[in-house]
Amino acid sequence: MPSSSELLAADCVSRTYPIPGRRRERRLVHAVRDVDLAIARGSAVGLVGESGSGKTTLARMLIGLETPTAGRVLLRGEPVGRGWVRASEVQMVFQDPYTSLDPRQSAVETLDEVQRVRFDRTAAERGRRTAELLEAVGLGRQEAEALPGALSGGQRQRAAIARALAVEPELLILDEAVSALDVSVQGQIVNLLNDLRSELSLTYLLISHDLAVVRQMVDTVVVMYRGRVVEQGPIDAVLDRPQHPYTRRLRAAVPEAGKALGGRMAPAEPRNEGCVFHHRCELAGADCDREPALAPVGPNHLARCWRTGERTAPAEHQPTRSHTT
Amino acid sequence: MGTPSASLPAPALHRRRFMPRLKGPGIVTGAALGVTVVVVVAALLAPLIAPYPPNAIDLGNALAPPSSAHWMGTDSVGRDILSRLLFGARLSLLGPLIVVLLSTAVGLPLGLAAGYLGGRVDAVLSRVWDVLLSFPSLLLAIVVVAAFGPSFLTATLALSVVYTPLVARVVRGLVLAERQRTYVAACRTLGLGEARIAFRHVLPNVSPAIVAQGTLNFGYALLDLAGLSFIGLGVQAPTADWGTMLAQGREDILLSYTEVIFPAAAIVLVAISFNLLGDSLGERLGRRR
Repeated sequence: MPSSSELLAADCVSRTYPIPGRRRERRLVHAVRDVDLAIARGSAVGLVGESGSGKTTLARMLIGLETPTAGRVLLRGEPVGRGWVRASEVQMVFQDPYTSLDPRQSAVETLDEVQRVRFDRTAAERGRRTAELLEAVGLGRQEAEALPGALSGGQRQRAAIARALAVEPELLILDEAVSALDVSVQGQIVNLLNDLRSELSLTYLLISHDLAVVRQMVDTVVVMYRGRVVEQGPIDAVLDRPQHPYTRRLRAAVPEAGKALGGRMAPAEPRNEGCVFHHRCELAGADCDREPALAPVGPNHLARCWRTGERTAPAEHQPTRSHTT
Repeated sequence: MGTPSASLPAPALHRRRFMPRLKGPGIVTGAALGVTVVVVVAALLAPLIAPYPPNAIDLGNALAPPSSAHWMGTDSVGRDILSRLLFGARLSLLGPLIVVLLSTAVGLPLGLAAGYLGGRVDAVLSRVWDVLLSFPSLLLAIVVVAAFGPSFLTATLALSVVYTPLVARVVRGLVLAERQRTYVAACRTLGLGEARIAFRHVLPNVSPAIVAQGTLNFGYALLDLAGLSFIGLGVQAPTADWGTMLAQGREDILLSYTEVIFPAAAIVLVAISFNLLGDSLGERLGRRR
C-alpha cells in the first residue's frame, strides 16, 4: 500500500488509553482508531476536527512521542522503530509557544545545542547556521539572545520554528502552531510558514481547528471525528463540497466566532459498531448502526457516510441548543 | 513658563503606579536577611571581634551578670559568654551548611533519577525514602550517632543521612512536574539525549526551587544539630557551640540566666531567619511563571 512518494504514513494506527476508574470495570478509550494517513513528499496536509478528535494524538504518534497501540508508522515505506523520536527527520512546532521553549535557554543557545547534538560542525559553522536560521524566521539578534520570558507569543513561535528547522527536517508537523497567537501575528506566521515551505521544499502536516488557516496553507485535508477519519480529499473539494455531515457542520460553524457546533460530542466510550457521528447527525437513520467505509465521493475525495448523496442545507438544521466543546 | 512646570507631576504619578511591582523584599524578609548576614559575618570574624578567647577560664569571676567587661556575663568557670557565642556560631552554622550540602549532593541525583526516569526506578527509590521518613528524624540521627560515637562530625553526618530523603522527595516532585512540560517533549524530538535533557534542561529549571528548599532545611538542621549537641551527642565540651552552651547553662539556670538565654535567642533568631528566607525565595521563584 505505501508507495515511495509517501514520505510519512500511518498504517492503520490506533491509540487507546485506559479510563481511570475502579479496576473491576476499567475500560479503554480510543483516542485514535484504525487511521490510515499518507503524506506525500512536498505536499501540505491538513488535519482538522474539534478538540478530542484525536488530531494531536495522531501527530504525536507520527513523530514518535507516543507509540501506537496498534498499527505502524512508516517513513518512506519503512516501519519506524524504537527511538524514532530522537532520530526523526520529522519536526514539530507545538501549540503553545509559552511552554514549548525551555524558559532558561535563549533561541541562540537552543539552535547551537541542536546543531552540536545532531551535526558535526565547528563553532564557526554553527554560528553561521544559527544566523541563517534566525534570518529565515525573521527573529532579530536581540530577541534571539533573550530568554523566552522576554519575548512575545509571535517571537516565541518564530524561535520554535527556527528550532525545528535547525534539525533540517523534511516534514514539519504544525500542531495548532498559530492558534495561540493574535490574529495579526497569526497572519504573519502563516505567511512565514508558507514562504519557508516553498524555499526549503518542506512537507507540512498542519493540525488545526481553524478552517480559514487550513485553507491558506494546505492542499489536502483530513477530517477527524472521535479518533476516526470521516472525510478526506483535496482542500477545495472538501471545504466547498463537503460530503460528510460532520464536515458540513464544521464548516458552517467557522465564520462566526462563538457559534459552536450543534449537539454534544458523544461520551468517549469505545464503540466498535456504528457510525461515530450518528449521535449528532441530522441524517442518522437505522443503517447508521453499522459503520460505513471510507468511500470515494469524487476525485481523490473520500467520505465515511451512508448518505453522501443526500444533502441538507446547513441552515435547516441549526442547533437548538449550542454547546461549546 | 507656566506650562512646563504644570506638566511635572505626571511622571511622579506614573512612577507611583508602577513602583509596587518593583518592590524589593518586604520588611520581614529584609530583617531575616539582615540577621543572617550579621550572624555569618560575626562567625567569620569571631577571632577579631570576640573580646576574650572562648575557653579562657577565670574562676574568680564565675557566673557574673552582664557588665561592661562581659556584655553577656560569664559562665560557671568564668568564660565570657559573648566570646563563646561568637566562636560557637562557627560550628553552629558550619554544621547545617555541611548537612545541606551533603544531603543535596546525595538526594538531588536520587530525586532526579526517580522523578525523571519514573517507573521501577521511582518505585524502588520512593519506597526506600518512605521507610527512612517514617522514622522520627531526630531519633534516627540519635541512633546513628549512638552507633558511631558522639562528635560534631558524626552528628553532622547523621543529620545528613536524615535530610537526604527529604531532599530527594522534594526534587522528585519538582522533576515529575517539570517533565510534563512541552519543552521536554520538544527536546526529545530535536534528538537530545535523555541525560542531556535531564541535566541541561530539567535540572536548571528546578534548581531555584531546590535552593529555596535548601535554605529551609538549613534552618531545620540548625535546630536539630543544636538539639543533638544539647543532649551531648554533637559538639563536645569544652568546644563552644550554641547547643552545648545551652546544655551547660541549664545546669546553672537558677544562679544565672545568661548562658541559657543568649544561645537560645541566637538559635531561634537564625532558625526563624532561614525559614523566612526559604519561604520568600520559594514564593518569588514560584511566581516566575
